[in-house]
Amino acid sequence: MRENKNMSESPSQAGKEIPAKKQKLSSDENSNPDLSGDENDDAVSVESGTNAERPDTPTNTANAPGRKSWGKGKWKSKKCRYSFKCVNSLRVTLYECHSQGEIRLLQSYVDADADENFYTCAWTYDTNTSHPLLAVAGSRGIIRVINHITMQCIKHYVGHGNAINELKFHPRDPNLLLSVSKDHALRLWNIQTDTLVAIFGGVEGHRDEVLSADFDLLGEKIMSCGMDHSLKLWRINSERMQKAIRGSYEYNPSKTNRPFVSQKIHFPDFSTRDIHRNYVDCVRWLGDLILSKSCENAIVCWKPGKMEDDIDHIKPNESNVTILGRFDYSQCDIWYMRFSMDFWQKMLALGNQVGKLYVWDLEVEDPHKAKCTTLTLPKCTSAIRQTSFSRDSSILIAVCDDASIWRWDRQR
Amino acid sequence: MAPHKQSSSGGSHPVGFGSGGKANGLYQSSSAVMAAAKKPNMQLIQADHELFLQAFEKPTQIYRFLRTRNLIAPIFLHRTLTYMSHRNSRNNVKRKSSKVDNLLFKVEKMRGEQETHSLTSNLQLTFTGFFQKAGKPSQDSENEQNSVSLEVLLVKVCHKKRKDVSCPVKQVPTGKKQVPLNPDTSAGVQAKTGSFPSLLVPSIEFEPSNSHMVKSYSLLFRVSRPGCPRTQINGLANGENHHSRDFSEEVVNRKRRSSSLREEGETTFVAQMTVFDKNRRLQLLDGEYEVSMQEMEECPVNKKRATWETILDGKRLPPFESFSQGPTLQFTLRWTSDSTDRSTAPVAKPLATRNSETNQDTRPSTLRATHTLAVKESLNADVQTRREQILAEPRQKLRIFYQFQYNNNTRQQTEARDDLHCPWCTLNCRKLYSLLKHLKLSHSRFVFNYVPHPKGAKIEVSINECYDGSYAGNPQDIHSQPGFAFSRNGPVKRTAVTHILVCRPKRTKPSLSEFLESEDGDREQQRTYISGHNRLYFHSDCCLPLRPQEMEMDSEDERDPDWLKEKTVKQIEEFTDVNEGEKEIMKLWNLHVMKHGFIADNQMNEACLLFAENHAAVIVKHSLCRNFLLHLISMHDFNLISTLTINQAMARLRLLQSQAAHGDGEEDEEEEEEDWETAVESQPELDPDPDPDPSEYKVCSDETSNGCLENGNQQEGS
Repeated sequence: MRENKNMSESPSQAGKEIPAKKQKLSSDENSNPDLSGDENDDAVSVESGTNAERPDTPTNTANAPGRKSWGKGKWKSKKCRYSFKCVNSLRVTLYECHSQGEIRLLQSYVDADADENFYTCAWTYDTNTSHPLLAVAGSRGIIRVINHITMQCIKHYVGHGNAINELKFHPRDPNLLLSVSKDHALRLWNIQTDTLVAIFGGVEGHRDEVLSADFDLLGEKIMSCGMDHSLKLWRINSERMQKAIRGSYEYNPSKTNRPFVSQKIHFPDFSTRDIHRNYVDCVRWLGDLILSKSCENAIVCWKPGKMEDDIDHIKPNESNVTILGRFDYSQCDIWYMRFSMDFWQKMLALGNQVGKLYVWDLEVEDPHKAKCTTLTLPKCTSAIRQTSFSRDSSILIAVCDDASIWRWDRQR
Repeated sequence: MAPHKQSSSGGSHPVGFGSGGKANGLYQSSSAVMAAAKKPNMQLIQADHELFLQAFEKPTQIYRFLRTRNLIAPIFLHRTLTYMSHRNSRNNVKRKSSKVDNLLFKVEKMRGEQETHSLTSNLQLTFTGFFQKAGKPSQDSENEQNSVSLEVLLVKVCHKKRKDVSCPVKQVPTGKKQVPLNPDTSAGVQAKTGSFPSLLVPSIEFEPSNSHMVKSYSLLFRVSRPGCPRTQINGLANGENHHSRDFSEEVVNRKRRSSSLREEGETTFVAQMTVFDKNRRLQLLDGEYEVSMQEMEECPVNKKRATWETILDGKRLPPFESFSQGPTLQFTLRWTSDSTDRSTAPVAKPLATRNSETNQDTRPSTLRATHTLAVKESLNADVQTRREQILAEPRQKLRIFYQFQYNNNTRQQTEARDDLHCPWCTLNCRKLYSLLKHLKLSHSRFVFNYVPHPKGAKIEVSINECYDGSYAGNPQDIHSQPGFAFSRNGPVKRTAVTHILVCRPKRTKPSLSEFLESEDGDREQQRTYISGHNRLYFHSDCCLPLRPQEMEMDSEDERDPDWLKEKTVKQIEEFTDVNEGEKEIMKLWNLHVMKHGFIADNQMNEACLLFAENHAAVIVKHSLCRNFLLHLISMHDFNLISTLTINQAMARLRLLQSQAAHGDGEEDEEEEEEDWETAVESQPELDPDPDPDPSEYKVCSDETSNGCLENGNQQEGS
């Protein structure tokens, strides 16, 4: 087992390659917890504080390329502190980034079911109490919402027929949660009223696992992608969806005996298979443009329709796409590798399967000439599945298959 | 009284070989049957004990847990069970004579009585002493302080009002006293009775206050002992418990660490006793009491979050060992009518348990603040059982031998008890029949067989292999937000779907013979009984759990699902060889057919008329009349409808048209008329099929009007 418990610093090596950045190796939790008592039948058992003397038994060592048996992590900033979260087999761990490169373990949550394997997480907040909330989901297809202030799992949503690959919150409505699943569909939940607003999928939906999805900046549309090589656009500013969202807020299960009727959106508002020739495992909006990647060593920047077409007037049967640019890299041909952008959409980061980190500075005149910086470390050699920037893009966190977390601080 | 007290049974049996260190109290004084013969070596016994634990430890833990939970949040009351009817002190004699009209009068009378009761009696507390075992005998520490300061508070838990989150609690200080610390109970107590500190709680305090309805009263004792070296307690426990697992050692260490962090100031011990419970029943009768005190941690636990969950490892906390181990407060309680009468304070006799060293395996009292609730509860239970015993009829000497069989019934251990308490939940069953019935029904993880015994009864206990441990509760609870395990805060209402089925089977006369090991039908008996509606359904379209209220609605109606409608519309939209008007009619028509599920040719007449009826407005609005007519005619060409139908359908449209045109003026109508003409004229041109003979039309229409079946057959044949 990897034992990178102590924060070992190797600024010298890093310093040679990229003088601007320094790196820290942080601790990680990949030990096997044995506190899952059989009495808590449907709960996430809570465990907090640092527990250094836990026995570390290897849980997930098999990570054959292309299969999901790794931890994926991401962070989001919270208030003035930097607190990020790493989901890791059946464990959800909360860390906090301090200045001076320190990473402190705050809390760790373990699912009661030993078969659970968390894949993804997303931050939001409670609109009543302003508590930060954390939604996590994984192989069992159950979404759990954790309030780390009260240290409780406050909600859970059952419904997806299979594993959940990504969770996203609406950029403007903190109660709307989007989940994408192996069951070929996306679901939009209202976590305030515990209603399922809509299911995106079916007749013309994805024909295989949905791997990733993203809301656009205003939360008017969703772009999803999956194993069927396709990217699909779902508008949620349509009258039908707006009505459904309003209805979900008005629905009160204690006042009515009728179930809330979820919208079944079978027909995307745009769909293409022309961008990638393989699993599309990550998609993000960049303004009205779309960044997406497959396991073909390139992130493609494209837009639906012709160059001059407006994204909001694209017809569902539009067959044209315009590719605007590519960000090339190497040794990243396994799937489930996520790139990330900072909040201001000026930095783009992606790790590859040998532990190399590519960072593009998008703040240039010509997007073709985006500056690429490669961050490498001798010790970081396994696939970096996920990356994440802090809100002010000063810190970059990378999470590896060997359950290590790497923190890069920007120094200029 | 409780299974933890081994002294009652231990003496009469071959002494265990000391391997019981890890066992919890119940199996302490077990005797291996084989062991009686020779002196087996320790390893064998250890192995045997391991087997024993393997078999019985887990279910016992579960039943212990359930016992505690049932004390805190009862699911049912034992006294309501038929076989426990003797526990029910209520009788229904008065029921016949009671009248509704008298209710108010009765209540008023009762209230009056209560008030007079509380008015006349003040609660007098005389404190004998505060006992805390220290590492050294107290006489060595002469120069140490020999009294502690005690504060008595009256806690009033008021009724929760709608706006309140939790029950409002009022604490009324009743006084502070210096209480002797570890007084020498063996000598000269009687002589000094008068000098014991005494406190009086005036009766006015127990009167209902006007702002809040007080639900229950309880006494809160708070003892602060200045400069008490905390580590001493832990040190003692640690020293005594040589074979304690390192886990507990670690706890002790942690405690030590935390205590060293704190300043060497006061240590506060608390205990709480209920005076009046929420039914305004007096819980504390006159008598001598010894209260086990708990050390107060600095972080008081939110009452809401202090649930029974945390007490789980309570097996290391037998409630009665706290009396011999932990700090206790002794006092005499009296209800007096005269507040000035202090000299006649009752004599406090030393309690026997205090100094009698039992050879019990004392465990470190690893109490944390979260345990206090449990301790309180067990304390209450203790008081209750104490009272129970007083009330119970003179006990007949009945010895119950529990014979634990394990390892495929090849081994057994026996434990004897002199009372009829359930060994798992300490419930006093009072009768052998009730005990057996209780064991069988409440502890179905075990199999109990009754064997008559000259001295009493023998109960064979073995593991029930057929026990179905799956979740037997309401499946709705699992899916409710935020999860049943977190939300359960006392008894909960069952879902609306649960219907109560009343079944009155013929009760057999209670007989001990029903517990004898039966030869046949054994399986039947061991099965757990599950009642209620335990099935959960899911919506077929979104896989969400179905609420019981939603069961009447069918979410599975799939004749014309929305997606299929949308798909149809989209596909028609993609046609390139038809014009927009035709597309519209095609969409309308196809959805119409889909909705009503027309499948046969002979339904077409009806279908067309219904279509005209339903969609006339849309057709007129979008000026699709000619397209519709074209459609009708081509259907006629295929021998599907008669001309009569065409006429009727178009008449319907025209009626609507004329109504619509009425406001617009007559020009429109003429125009429409013209349209119609042209439509008829243009029909043969548009029709791709070879023109059918007009005469044929007639024949067909006749046929269809005469007999639809023939028409259908003909169509199929051609």
